[in-house]
Amino acid sequence: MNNAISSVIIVGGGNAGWITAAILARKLKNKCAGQVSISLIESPNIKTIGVGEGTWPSMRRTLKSIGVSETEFIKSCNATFKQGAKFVGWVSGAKNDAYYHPLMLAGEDEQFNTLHAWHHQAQPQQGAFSKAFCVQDYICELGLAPKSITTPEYASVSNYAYHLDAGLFTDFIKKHCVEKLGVKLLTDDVIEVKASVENTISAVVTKENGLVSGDLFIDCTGFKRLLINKHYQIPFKSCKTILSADSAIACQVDYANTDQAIASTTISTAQSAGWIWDIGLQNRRGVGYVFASDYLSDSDAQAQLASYINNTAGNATNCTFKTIKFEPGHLSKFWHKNCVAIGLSAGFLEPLEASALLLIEMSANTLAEHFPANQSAMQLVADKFNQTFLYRWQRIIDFLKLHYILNQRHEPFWQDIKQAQSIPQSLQNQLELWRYQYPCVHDFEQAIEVFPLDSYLYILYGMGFKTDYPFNVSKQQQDLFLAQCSDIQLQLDHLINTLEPNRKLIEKIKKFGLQKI
Amino acid sequence: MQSFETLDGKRHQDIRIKTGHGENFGENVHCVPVVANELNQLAVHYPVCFLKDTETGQFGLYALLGFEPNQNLYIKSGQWGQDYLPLHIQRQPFIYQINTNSTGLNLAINVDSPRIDNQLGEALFLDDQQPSDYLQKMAKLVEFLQSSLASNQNFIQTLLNIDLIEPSQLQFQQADGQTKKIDGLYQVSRQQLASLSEQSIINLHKTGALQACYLLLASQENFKKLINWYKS
Ligand SMILES: Cc1cc2nc3c(=O)[nH]c(=O)nc-3n(C[C@H](O)[C@H](O)[C@H](O)COP(=O)(O)OP(=O)(O)OC[C@H]3O[C@@H](n4cnc5c(N)ncnc54)[C@H](O)[C@@H]3O)c2cc1C
Repeated sequence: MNNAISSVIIVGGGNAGWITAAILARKLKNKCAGQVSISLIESPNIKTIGVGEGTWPSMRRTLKSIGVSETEFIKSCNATFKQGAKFVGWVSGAKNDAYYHPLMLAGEDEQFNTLHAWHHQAQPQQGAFSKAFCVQDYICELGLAPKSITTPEYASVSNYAYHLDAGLFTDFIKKHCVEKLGVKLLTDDVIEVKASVENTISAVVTKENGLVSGDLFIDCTGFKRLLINKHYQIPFKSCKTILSADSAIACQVDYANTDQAIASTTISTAQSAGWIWDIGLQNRRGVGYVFASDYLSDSDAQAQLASYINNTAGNATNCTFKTIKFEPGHLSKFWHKNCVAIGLSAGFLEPLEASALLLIEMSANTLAEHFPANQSAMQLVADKFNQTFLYRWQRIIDFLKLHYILNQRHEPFWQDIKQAQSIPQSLQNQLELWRYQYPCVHDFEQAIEVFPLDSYLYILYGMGFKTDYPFNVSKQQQDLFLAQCSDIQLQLDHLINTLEPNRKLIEKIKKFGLQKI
Repeated sequence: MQSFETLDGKRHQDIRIKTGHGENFGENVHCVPVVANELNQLAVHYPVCFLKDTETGQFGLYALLGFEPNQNLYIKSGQWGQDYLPLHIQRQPFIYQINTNSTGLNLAINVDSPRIDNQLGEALFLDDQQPSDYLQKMAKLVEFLQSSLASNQNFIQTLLNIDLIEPSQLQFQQADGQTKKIDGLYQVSRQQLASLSEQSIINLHKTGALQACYLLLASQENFKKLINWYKS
């Protein structure tokens, strides 16, 4: 078999390791006729990061593709529905300062025909954009679920992702991998890496089980970066000058009572030196403050977080706070020789748009789809992979930065983060262009884009960005826009009668289950 | 309106039941729950499909009677003119209820039913408070329906477990040329049925589920009749 790649060793059993294992096991089963074995080594001593509760709609596809039931997933992971993000206080910090980044697309076809008509008529008012272009804002404000009990598993009435308990999710995927997908689990510590003459990894040495050899190694060891960095010393590209947050304090908050409403979005509230995420699960909220340590001490951050909790129907005295330090950025290359880094080992950016799990899914899918047949194919596949993912990381950095540069807040953190010299050239160019003409799909490398055009529009115009398009609004466009407005009203009237509050639907799902069809 | 009382020879001594069928008795509904045990009789007259309960999302078996809310196309000039009526219709105004009262019949009666009268119709009890023949017949029917309901759930679950149910869209041209689409109907999948393993076929046959599947598929022919009625 001309040195076929027949054994994959994943080191690390966090969500990166297990999601990668599931996707590979499922996709390679047919592709490689069951001749590729997938093993995962996880340390009994080193804990997983234990946070990461917001996802992107891609997670629905991932879960469906690996063959788990949505009902089981919702029951096992305390999962709820996420229909987007609500950004509170990101523009001015004034009382009603809020806008949505919903998950429903804003336009049906690739041309946003009515953008100019909207922009022209409404003096771009903060928060008005997403309401004019999609119905999901309203659904979220009403706390409604994105589907009903008669909607089949994974199907939606309005687009959604999940909020989930990170620890339970790891256990859930792990069980599925081991019991259903034939992934071999080894609970042990990797203590050394063995390389051959050409410096490809031939095996890892474990504490209890000795040598574990393989053809392809996946580094999912989190911030430890055991193979890719400790062994190969692939350099890390920090982006702290662009995105200055480097710390997080996370905690779990009890609901005030067991039938408290579950929010439909992640609520991201701006603070003096960063922002607080607020995620509603079935049984508790996950809340955390992401901040820049150059501007705020840990203890002051914790005090701000505690006051947020107390002001939002929580009780901070019951909370255990966990502080996590990170260097924002990513590796200069993710695939080196026969080793691929996926998850936190590849890099980490502040979790503003739940891009981490999304990138894990994308990486594992790309790896499976382009799976190298043998060692000779490896280098070519690796080059392509690196090129694609360097582009993606850079696009995510640009997109996250976009959330900051239109702010009008007065604190030093917010002032500094919008300074021109901290904005990547690629983003500066785009913004310059969008000052004169509206963003369109052709501004993006469509095939490998991470966030769709719609996401950019939601942030830009949600924050009150202005485009000085020099032409009039055509009659045709004006009519289209009016039709769009009445269509949204019709959709809303219908959905209000069809959809139930989140908690009510979750309870029904736990009781009756969703049908597969 | 529904208000059930456990059947009692003394309390309900003077009640009579009007036995006709039609709009007067609130039977202008567009679908009615049925059980697999009556498919033999149903399939000749009605299209029978799976529908989801809007409150629970669970599948149930229903005979389709119309395409609009409150539309029962089987009712002509106020009368339900059909040889066989679904058990759920026949059983009115009774439901199954364990009964320790003197009657010895496991029945409760909906005292708000438009069928209730004190002059016209079938008597429930004889002068000595013993159940009438009519009532005994109804008690048997209700018992049969009750036991059929349990096996019905098993039947549906069996089909779901082997992916034998699929969404089926009904679509036809209305008199005004517009296309009418009926969503939310589910049917036995012909394709899945054709590709079952021998063992699955034997298992389905033993419980009677296989025969029920073919009856369900055959009952779809009745949609043609229904559509014609709808258009005229
Ligand atoms: C504050 C914060 C908030 C976040 N929020 C989000 C979010 O909302 N949405 C999102 O998508 N992502 C979020 N993330 C990112 C997300 O948590 C991670 O991407 C995800 O959990 C994957 O982590 P991981 O598996 O790469 O690493 P880890 O969970 O750290 O797992 C590492 C694994 O490697 C094993 N290991 C390490 N060393 C060895 C060794 N020597 N031998 C054997 N095994 C070893 C460990 O035992 C562990 O199993 C957030 C991250 C942080 C820090």
